[in-house]
Amino acid sequence: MAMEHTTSGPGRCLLVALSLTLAASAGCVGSITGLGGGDDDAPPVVTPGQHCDDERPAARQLRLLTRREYAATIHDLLGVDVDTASVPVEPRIKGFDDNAAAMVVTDRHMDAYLALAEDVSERAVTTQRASLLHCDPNVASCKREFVTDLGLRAFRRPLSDDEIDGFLAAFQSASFDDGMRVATAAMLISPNFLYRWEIGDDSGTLTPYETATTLSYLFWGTMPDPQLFDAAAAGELSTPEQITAQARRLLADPRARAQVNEFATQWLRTDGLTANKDAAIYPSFTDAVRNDMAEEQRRFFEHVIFEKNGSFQDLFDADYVYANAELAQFYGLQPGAGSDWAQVPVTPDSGRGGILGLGALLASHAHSNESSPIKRGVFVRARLLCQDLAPPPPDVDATPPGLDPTLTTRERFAAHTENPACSGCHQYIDGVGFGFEGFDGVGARRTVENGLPVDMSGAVVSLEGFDKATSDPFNDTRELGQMLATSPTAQSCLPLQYFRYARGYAETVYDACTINNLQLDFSQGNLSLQDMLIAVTASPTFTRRKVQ
Amino acid sequence: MTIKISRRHLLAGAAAAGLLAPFVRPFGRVRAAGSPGKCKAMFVYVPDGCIPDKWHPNGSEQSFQLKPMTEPLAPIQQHLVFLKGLDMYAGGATHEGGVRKVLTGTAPVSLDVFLGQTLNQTDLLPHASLQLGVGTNFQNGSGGMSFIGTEQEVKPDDDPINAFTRVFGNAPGGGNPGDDPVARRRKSILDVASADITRARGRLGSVEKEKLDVHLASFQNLERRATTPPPAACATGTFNSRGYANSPTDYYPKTWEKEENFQAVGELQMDIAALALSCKMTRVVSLMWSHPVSPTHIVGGGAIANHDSSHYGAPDSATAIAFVQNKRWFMDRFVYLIQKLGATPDSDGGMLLDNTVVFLCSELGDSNNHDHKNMPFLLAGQAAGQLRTGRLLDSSGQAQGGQNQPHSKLLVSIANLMGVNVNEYGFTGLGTGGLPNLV
Repeated sequence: MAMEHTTSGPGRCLLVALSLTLAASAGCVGSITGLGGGDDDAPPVVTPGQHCDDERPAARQLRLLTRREYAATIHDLLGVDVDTASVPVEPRIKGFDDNAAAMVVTDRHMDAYLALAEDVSERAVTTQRASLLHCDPNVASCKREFVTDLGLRAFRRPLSDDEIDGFLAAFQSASFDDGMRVATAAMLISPNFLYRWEIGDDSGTLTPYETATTLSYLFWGTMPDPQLFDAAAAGELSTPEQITAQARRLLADPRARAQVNEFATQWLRTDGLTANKDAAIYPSFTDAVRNDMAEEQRRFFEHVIFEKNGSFQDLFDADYVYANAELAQFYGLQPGAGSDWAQVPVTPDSGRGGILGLGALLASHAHSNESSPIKRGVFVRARLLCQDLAPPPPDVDATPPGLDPTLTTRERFAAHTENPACSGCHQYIDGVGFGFEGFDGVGARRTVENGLPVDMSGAVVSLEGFDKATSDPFNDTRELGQMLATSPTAQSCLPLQYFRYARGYAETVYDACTINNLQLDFSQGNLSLQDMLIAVTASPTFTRRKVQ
Repeated sequence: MTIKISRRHLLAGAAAAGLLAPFVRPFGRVRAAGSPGKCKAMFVYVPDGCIPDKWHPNGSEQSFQLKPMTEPLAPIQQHLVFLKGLDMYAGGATHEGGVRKVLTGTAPVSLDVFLGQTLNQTDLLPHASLQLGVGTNFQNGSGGMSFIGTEQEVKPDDDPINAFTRVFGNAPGGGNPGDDPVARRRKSILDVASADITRARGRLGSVEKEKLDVHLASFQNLERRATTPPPAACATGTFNSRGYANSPTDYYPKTWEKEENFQAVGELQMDIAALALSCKMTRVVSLMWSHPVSPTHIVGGGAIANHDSSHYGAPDSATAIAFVQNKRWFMDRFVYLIQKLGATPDSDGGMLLDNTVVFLCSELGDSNNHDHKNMPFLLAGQAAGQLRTGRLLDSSGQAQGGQNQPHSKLLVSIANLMGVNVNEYGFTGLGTGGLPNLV
């Protein structure tokens, strides 16, 4: 698989790492920007450090709702909850679950959507009838009113007269309530409901309703609220000022917090927190501790982004963690007063504070029975530096060092960097990962392993690009965090990761100008995280799509 | 409205899914014996390759000795064709590249999906193909083996209760919904939704047409299932006689993802496969056991998680012993499947195993090396009188330049056994046509 392959995700690299495969230097380093190829048009020319005015529109897309978006939308549309376990899981492309091109409705999707639509419409008409129906069923126009109202919210745009007539057929030879059920269920299996349409008008400009929908799913992971619908109806989602004003309103709403945490979870791949761990080795890593770690991450991002309105550096240099008594004990910290969640101060020698000390991150990027310098090294390169490493070539003996009670993990894995057949790639990985050795496979602090002192020193080789012959030493995760916080490469990576998530596709060469401008806005704007979340909506290409 | 599957629409969907892509070329083969029209196909995946010296039998075509990893297959040996000397060429490397091409041969669409959709243009069975899994979606960062288009995976269903219900469950009996209010309502929903899809296609024109064509094909398959009676009676009465049940309080992992249920879920999925094939709910089933880089600790297998054990180091290491134990466990399950197919009457006459070709596959050759050489593949079943079994077919060095034969030729052969006349499937760098000397 070629390095520049646009859909070879970091998840893939992680698993390469997990498999401890050794890679020869040839082919390890390729394009580190991840930009894929495209069609025959010449890509935009970007001058580093300068804004460019050649942003290219992306393809028109139908974006299938993720299971999470589906459930949230059903809840907001009909007032009932739904379990989406029967819907196939999303593919992960570049680590994100919302890649429009990879998501299609297979037979099993359709079966699940129909079964859910039947169930949901039944419950909604039974339990939410009053909130869904605003007219007297005995009045002839009531059916049309119901279809028009629900259709607007289900399709996230007004229905055409043809469409209204089509759904009115649901009321033929059925009781009024049965007609409601049939019309509702039919809407829920419609492509107009199941996909977020980013199609645009004849000129390729998103319609106001499409813009409202894109904004709503970006910041809330669900359908637009009445204010967004009103703004779309009034044509008040046309200028960048109008759009960013709505974006700021959405971001200020409490609903944005869960959504931003979802992005953080996919960016940092902390969904691995649910992975199996060897209970004999890690008896104290209980389900309660896992839940605490997830909560720690949620509270941390909520604080940095929303309460503090913080910057990129704040993600790394926090001198506190969020913990309850249970998690504080697991971390070996003095808990705050009482057992409730609180900000607990930490010293640099704790290794805690900032995303690199999050239990969720450390436990996710580790094996079931030990830490993993390789997984953690690849994590930093792929997720924090946007430096995707090529998969290893075949025919290399990938046997990992076995567990050895007389050595530390670091000593066992050191062969990578000493063996020239391996060091071509592992020079970029292992030195980073070794700096995490102060944390075991479930994110607990350790200074001793197998009776031997843990060496937490590390080095980042070629931090600012594989073509740069540099090596920056550090000791422990806090120093690594400081290095990343001030690294231009790390600072430019986060806006790229957010671009992938926000736009639902892996970038191509044609996005170079848009991405350059987003990165420049971030670095020139004090690295404000809220501004970065907003900036993607201010990009000229946010509402422009390519006309074939 | 008349609910009748449109061949034109199906073909449009097939084209959209890449099914009529240039890699498929007509192949005017005439078969001497057998009944490809009766043939069913199963694709069974087990994770993480093998230790070649402990997998591939030694000996001649008719007389050969099994190895520690294949020894458990002795009771069904007469139904198997061991395949030696097949490599997977081109495509991606390691686990992820291997699973992506094992059924695609580097084509956009995997063979299970392709065969199902191609055959069902005329078979019109309830399901073109079924994709079942055993913990396949659990902690899977490496992907699956079934694809409906480039980078578009068909994810297996890991929940046997959901899978059973979907195939045999509460679908109203077809044709005339009669007095069943649920069936009547479902027919109304589908009628209204069908008109809506037509309007949506009109709005979009050529924009995102391929995606909407796949959507439409799935919708039309659903319509057919909901309104057409199954072609044969399905004797589902003994299914799940041990009473496996999903617990609503199992949030993560779900009940079907728990390691202690690995075997029970797998057996239920194999039971579903046998049932569905025997009563013509489908002609194609794929079954994935776990996934590449499998984290599963097999209860009753080796003491090490499957993938960890696959990095076995020296062939006599403790890790290798665990890997052999894990593999033998999977082979025991394969014996269960083959014996199940052998004991299940087929609605086309005879026993299911007589009329089925089963492809047992993995994504790696030697797991130590993460290579795609000398793959641990075998076929089972007589493929409706077309396949001579109880053999070892060694293709080592048989391709041009003395190279191993490409597994894409095996994919061609399987398609041909199913009566789908293609002469290439994906990789053609070492020639086209089926695997020499297989049939």
